[in-house]
Amino acid sequence: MRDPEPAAPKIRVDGVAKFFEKGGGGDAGQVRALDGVDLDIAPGEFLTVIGPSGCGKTTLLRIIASLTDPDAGRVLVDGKAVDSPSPERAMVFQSFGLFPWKTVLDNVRFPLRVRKAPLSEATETAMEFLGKVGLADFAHSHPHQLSGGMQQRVGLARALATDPDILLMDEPFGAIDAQTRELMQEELMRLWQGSGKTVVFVTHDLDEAVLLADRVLLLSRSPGTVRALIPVDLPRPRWDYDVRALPGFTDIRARLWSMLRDDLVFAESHGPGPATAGAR
Amino acid sequence: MSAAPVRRIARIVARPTLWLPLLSLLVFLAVWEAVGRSVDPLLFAPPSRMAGELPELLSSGELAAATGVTLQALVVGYLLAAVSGVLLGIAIGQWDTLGRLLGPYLFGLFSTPRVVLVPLVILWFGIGYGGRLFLVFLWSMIAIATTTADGIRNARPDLVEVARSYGAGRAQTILHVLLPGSIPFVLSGLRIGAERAVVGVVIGEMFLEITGLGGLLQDSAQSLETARMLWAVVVIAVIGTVLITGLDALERRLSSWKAEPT
Ligand SMILES: Nc1ncnc2c1ncn2[C@@H]1O[C@H](COP(=O)(O)OP(=O)(O)O)[C@@H](O)[C@H]1O
Ligand SMILES: [Mg+2]
Repeated sequence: MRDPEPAAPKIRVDGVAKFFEKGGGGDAGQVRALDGVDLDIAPGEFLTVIGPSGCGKTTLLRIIASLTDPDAGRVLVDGKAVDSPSPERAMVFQSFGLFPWKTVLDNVRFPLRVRKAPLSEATETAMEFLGKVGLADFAHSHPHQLSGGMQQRVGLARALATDPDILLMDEPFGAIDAQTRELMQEELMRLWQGSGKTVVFVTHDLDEAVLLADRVLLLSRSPGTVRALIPVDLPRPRWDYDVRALPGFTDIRARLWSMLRDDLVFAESHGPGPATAGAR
Repeated sequence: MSAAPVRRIARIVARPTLWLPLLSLLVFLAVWEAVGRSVDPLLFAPPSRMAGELPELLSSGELAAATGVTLQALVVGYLLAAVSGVLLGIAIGQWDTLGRLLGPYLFGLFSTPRVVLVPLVILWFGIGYGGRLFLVFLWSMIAIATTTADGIRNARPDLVEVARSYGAGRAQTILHVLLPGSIPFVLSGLRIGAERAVVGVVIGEMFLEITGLGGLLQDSAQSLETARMLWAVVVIAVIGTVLITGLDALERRLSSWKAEPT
């Protein structure tokens, strides 16, 4: 659907590697979470990221968000290297990351208040986005009074409240029941379509990866490297017809599954532990 | 017509939460009275003799004046301790090095009986308000600072990261995440600190400058006026109870978000 070689990428991941000291003491070596990841993400692109668990999906997202520094390589946004977090690259967390002592409204207002927006303006913006996710009536509730799906809607409203160019989403619907998840996928597509926002969306759900994506990034098992980048050329908007029934959808899904399957089978027979530098 | 309100009042009176404490108080006073009458009057006073002393204590203004002196030092010292304790606690919780530097001294002081340090306090502050304030302040402040620091260190790292991801600086992270997350710790510190402050004010008034309720207690004990002495004890106990009850109410207010109905 998109030109695979746009003039200027929104995000460029340039030779990124990340190692972690293996826990438990001793000289067990390092966990290689990511190794030499190169990736260009176009402005306005919806990129989904999939791969076996522990392959470094979260680590990649955290590096793009500047929540972790890479051990090698760098991340460029609009051509400039980034080194500190910014609401321009808003995160949506798998466990929602809502402040339990703040009301829904205060949670959504938080990034605006951090930016020193006047209270009345912050309130207005927060209410606008709560409206967009259908939670205006719950502005004065606390997070624990809401269902998981509603809590993640708050997380989404909070991320969108500062009108970021980039949305980084780490398995945002992973903790939400299957039916609500389908609704949320549709809501997310409606919010994103035409917004021009660049989305990096990590998931472990193949259907979700194909359904949402302009391109699917498949990471190899640990250490994570780019295994495949598969364009998804299905017509948009995808919510007013049954995408999953299209031959195009099932083909891509089957291709991804056959590649992913090898790594999963390997992981099953070799245990979940990632490859270590010492073991190779 | 009047049967319903009467029944309602009867039901209220019949509530165990109301009559159980009342019953226990009556039994307590009865036992006290019995014991008080059977012991040497120089050693102990029954409630009846205490009641007899009360008009004199009140009309002379002696009890009110003593209570005023005690409350003044207690309130000022405790408020100072609360504010500086929370601030110091945040600092210690944030900078481990500071905690390691100050920790031994704070714990050392905290576990030293204050009476032992009274001579030193006299040397530093003289016999007077400053010294008494110091005895209220320091130990209360240490209790509040160390528990607050524990709370800050126990903050949820995932929420700290959320704040960081939205570009929050240190001050904003403290204000929005660390401090609200530490409220249960801070409150338990305030409670321990309140107890320390009450003991501190009495020690100061008994051993540093004979004044206030502690002074009244000390004086009447020396002149063997046990009824007057016990009145001082009662008022000190009431002050402590009011303080703790107030903190309980504060805790209910601050953690109300947990209890809200869905
Ligand atoms: N803070 C950390 N300390 C040590 N090891 C880590 C840390 N974060 C991630 N890892 C390791 O790096 C690898 C990749 O983790 P992660 O990015 O969370 O994978 P994914 O999100 O794909 O499941 C895993 O082996 C994990 O154990
Ligand atoms: Mg992950």
